[in-house]
Amino acid sequence: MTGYLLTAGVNARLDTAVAVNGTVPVHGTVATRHTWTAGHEGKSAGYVKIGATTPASPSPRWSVLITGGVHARELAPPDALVAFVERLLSAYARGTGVSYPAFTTNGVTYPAFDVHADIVRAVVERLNLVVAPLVNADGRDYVLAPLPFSAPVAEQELHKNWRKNRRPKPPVFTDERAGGVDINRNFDILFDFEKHYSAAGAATVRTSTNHLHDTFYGGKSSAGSEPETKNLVKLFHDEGIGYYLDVHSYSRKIMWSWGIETNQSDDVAQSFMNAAKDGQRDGTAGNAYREYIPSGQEAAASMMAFLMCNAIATEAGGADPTALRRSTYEAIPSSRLYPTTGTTTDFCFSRWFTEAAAGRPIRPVTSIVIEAGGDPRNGPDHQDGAFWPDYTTQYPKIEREIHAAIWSFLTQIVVTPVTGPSAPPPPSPAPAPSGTPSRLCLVATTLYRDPEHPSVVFLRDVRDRQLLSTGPGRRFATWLTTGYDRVSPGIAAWFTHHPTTARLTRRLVFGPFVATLRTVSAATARSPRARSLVLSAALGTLAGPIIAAGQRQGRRRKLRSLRKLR
Amino acid sequence: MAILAVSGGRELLARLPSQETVMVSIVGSTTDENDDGTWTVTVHAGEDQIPALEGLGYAVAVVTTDAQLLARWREIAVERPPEA
Repeated sequence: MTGYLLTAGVNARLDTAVAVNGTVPVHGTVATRHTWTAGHEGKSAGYVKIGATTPASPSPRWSVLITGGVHARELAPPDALVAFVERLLSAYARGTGVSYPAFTTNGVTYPAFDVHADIVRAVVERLNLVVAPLVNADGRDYVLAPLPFSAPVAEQELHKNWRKNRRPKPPVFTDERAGGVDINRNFDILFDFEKHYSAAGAATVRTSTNHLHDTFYGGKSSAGSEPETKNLVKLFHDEGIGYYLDVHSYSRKIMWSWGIETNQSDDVAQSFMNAAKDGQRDGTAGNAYREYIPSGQEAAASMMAFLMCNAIATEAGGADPTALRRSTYEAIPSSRLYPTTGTTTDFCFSRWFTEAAAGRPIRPVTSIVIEAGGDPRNGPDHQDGAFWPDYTTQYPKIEREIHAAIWSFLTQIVVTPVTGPSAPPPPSPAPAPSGTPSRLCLVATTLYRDPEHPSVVFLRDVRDRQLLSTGPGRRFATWLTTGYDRVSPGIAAWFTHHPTTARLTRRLVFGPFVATLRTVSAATARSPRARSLVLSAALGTLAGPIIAAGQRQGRRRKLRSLRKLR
Repeated sequence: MAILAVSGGRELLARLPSQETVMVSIVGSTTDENDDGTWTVTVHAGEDQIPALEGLGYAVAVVTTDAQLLARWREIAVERPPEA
């Protein structure tokens, strides 16, 4: 029978994938199955660890965790993660890539796409990958419990809309909804939120102290109380997780931490660890308190989220305009209108701060949440079935999107050098402003031979307006223009004397670069803050190395001059 | 249980999680700012909650009715694990 996997089905499929493809003749063990503590009703799906060691494998390597099924009613993510494990192990065992066939539903065709064998090999041989497709196994089976067609509406609703785990309800309650704890509010990060936030701020926090609510946090002083929470906390610690992706549904968004507050990168004292700020955190009721995140970390996380959105659009969406519209995701910080406390991703990210504060620094942590599938309120292009996609006509599209996002996530990690343990850096001082904001983009003007060419005008707007919406963006813009001023006259002069190369550079390098920036700018236009951060990251990735090389050359020149003076 | 689009001013909508007189499940990641400065969020709640929500000042639109969602729940298919 075709349909969503119960816990037993998840276990059976993972066991089979590891038994069949978990060992390869050349490299031995590639994947292993692990159990963990069962939930209150005795269900558990455990997890799979994937990683082969070859002479080319780096040491140390990044540890990466992907989870799904934290919320019971979100049906698509666990199945999608089981399918991902199967495809990854099967492809690695055969030395192939992964092919996703085209998928047609409701008259729209989503194109075939491939993941190259080199990427499969790099993921398995360069990362420690842990996949836990079903964190809340008890809850899943409660949602999927077969009920007779004649079951009362209230009973159907109770099961199919269940979000929490299955902790028994306290004896004083008769209402079945009083059972369970929202695992994604149970982690030890600003857990007792009524103490940590002002009254106005706490009113905006989407965490509840009411047993009947589906965001019930577990009760006062119960941080980390649930078996599912303990399982993940242990995994974060034991595996030294540096990158974490938690797959949820729905709304077609990819989000980075923090969720506890809006982000800022200027004041390290505004930290979840600072008890002196208790009662002052204002959630989204005010802007006096915002949570510190190092600017480089936010730029990297936002870029990662943006590139994941881009991968979904280009690979799972493709060229058909309708397919593309229906596979368009948005990259945003987690805290928008509603802050959230005690979440899996914020807790994982917070370990970078808390472990350093305890004198046990760990590698930097990046936490990302994907909310897969459309929000039906947004119209005909967003009908993905909300929490309950049809298994035949809607789920396959969502699975493709989740997989495209995961491949992008993992590919980005593979190419990220493994850094050592470190404390989160303090704010970097803003460099002195240089130049006037209205000056020309010298290289762009030389390449386009027109200071008012639309691409030149666009680049000026990015530099003089779009980057300036955030502190990190302003600092980056200053760094960029300072460095640019240093290297651009030489580059422009060189292009002036090499017109053919200039033409080719404009067509093959600069044009696509500007097009990418335009896409980034348009995709994030609704959030000036996100746009500033993502553009900073994009420009840093693409233009940063040139400027850094120019700065190094400048320093070497200065050094030579000093030596001559001696 | 229905899927509702709930709209209002920023401050009003930000207080939705703490409203004790309505029982709604907020899909937090769906919050969006509208062009007129109001915000909209998707929530799961019975259609019988609509009068209470409107009484608190929220504008409510039904996205999926109680009956449509119930019909969907009744048809969810489950894959059985292979027999040992």
